Amino acid sequence: MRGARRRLLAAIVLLLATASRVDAQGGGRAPQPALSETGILDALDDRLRVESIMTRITAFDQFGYGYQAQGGPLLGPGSERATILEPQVEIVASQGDRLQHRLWVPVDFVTNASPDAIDVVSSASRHVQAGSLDWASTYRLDGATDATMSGGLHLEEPFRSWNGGLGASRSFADGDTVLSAGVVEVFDWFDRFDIHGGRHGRADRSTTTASLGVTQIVSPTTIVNVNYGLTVQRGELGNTWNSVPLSDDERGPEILPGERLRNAVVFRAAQFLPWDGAVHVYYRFYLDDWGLTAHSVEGELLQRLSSQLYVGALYRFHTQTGVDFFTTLANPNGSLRTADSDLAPLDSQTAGGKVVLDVPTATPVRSLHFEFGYERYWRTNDLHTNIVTCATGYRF
Amino acid sequence: MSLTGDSLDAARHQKLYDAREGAAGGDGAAAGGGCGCQ
Repeated sequence: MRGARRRLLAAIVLLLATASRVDAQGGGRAPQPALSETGILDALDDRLRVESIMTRITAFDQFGYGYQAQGGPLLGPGSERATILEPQVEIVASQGDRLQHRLWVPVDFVTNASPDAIDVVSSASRHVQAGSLDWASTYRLDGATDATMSGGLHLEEPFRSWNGGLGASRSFADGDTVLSAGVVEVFDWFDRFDIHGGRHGRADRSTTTASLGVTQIVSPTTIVNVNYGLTVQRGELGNTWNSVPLSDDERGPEILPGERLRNAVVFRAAQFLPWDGAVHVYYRFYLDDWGLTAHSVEGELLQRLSSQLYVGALYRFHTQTGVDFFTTLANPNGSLRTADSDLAPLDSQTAGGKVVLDVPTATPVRSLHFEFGYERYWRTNDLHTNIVTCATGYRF
Repeated sequence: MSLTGDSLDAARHQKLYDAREGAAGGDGAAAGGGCGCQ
């Protein structure tokens, strides 16, 4: 189909070029050299060709309490109530046969109840807008090897972040086995606040992640992947305004180490089911040098109802130990302390479902994509979130 | 057959969990940083 279109485009261009030459000769000018079909096709292939445009908007309605927040009793948990609206857009485009670009723009509109210390003084940060611009380009070096380069920035008052990455993948055994490796560096630069809302210059943080993975096609209906990631973080590793209830009936600042070493191993598998269904399974083991160990397990079942319509159901369970220095009432003279509920011992669960419609259409749009989903996320330490997501897309 | 599904769906799940739990990483992306919520 693509070859026929290319031949048709080449014929049109050649026809126009020939007409132009006839016109030029008729006008008395010197004849132009003939355009070759190969040259015209090469020029057409180098143009940017949009392959898909996908959009998704997700709304989070969160309820809960955490001891790091100050919107409650002096020594008790404060409100973590928040609503978040998160639009995203993704454009994938190819340039010739070897180069593919991905542009991703996520935006967050956050309305907090009281998790920031800044709110205690001015309420200025109860409404936060944040946005990112990420671009990744993958170049096919040969039939088996790809190289990827990525970069991006994130803007958020009072937070700035830059990231860059390099990666490569190589396939073996006719593509049945793919090895991949990558490095990502993130640099964060943000305002430093005390727990009373006072601003004290700038803080920064560096996050470096190296990953190594292998993907294996086990059978025509089964594919598995194992990936290991090692992350080193250095600098200010908190948001600077989290507070901790102290045993002398005051609140003090969170005190965190200046470095964190994080290890994670992920196992994924996808299996087609004989009744027009598929199942995805996911497991992650996580360990860091702050004393936090975690296990996450997830399963998603997809069932096709017609050639255009399928439904999905998802369940996830996560359990973690807290970091060694988590407390809800700290010694004022202690060296390390946090009351951040995200770093506490907890179990969390996610359950939800979605309906997806893929409608084939005539060119230039190959298909339209619609999706609606709902999920509920809840934790054992007093936090739950209702999530509604809606996606639309065009595949060309 | 895809292991991860829709990339925008995967991204919003990753952010949901990374911002509310102490564990992150293992999927090729950076474990932490990049956002005021993490």
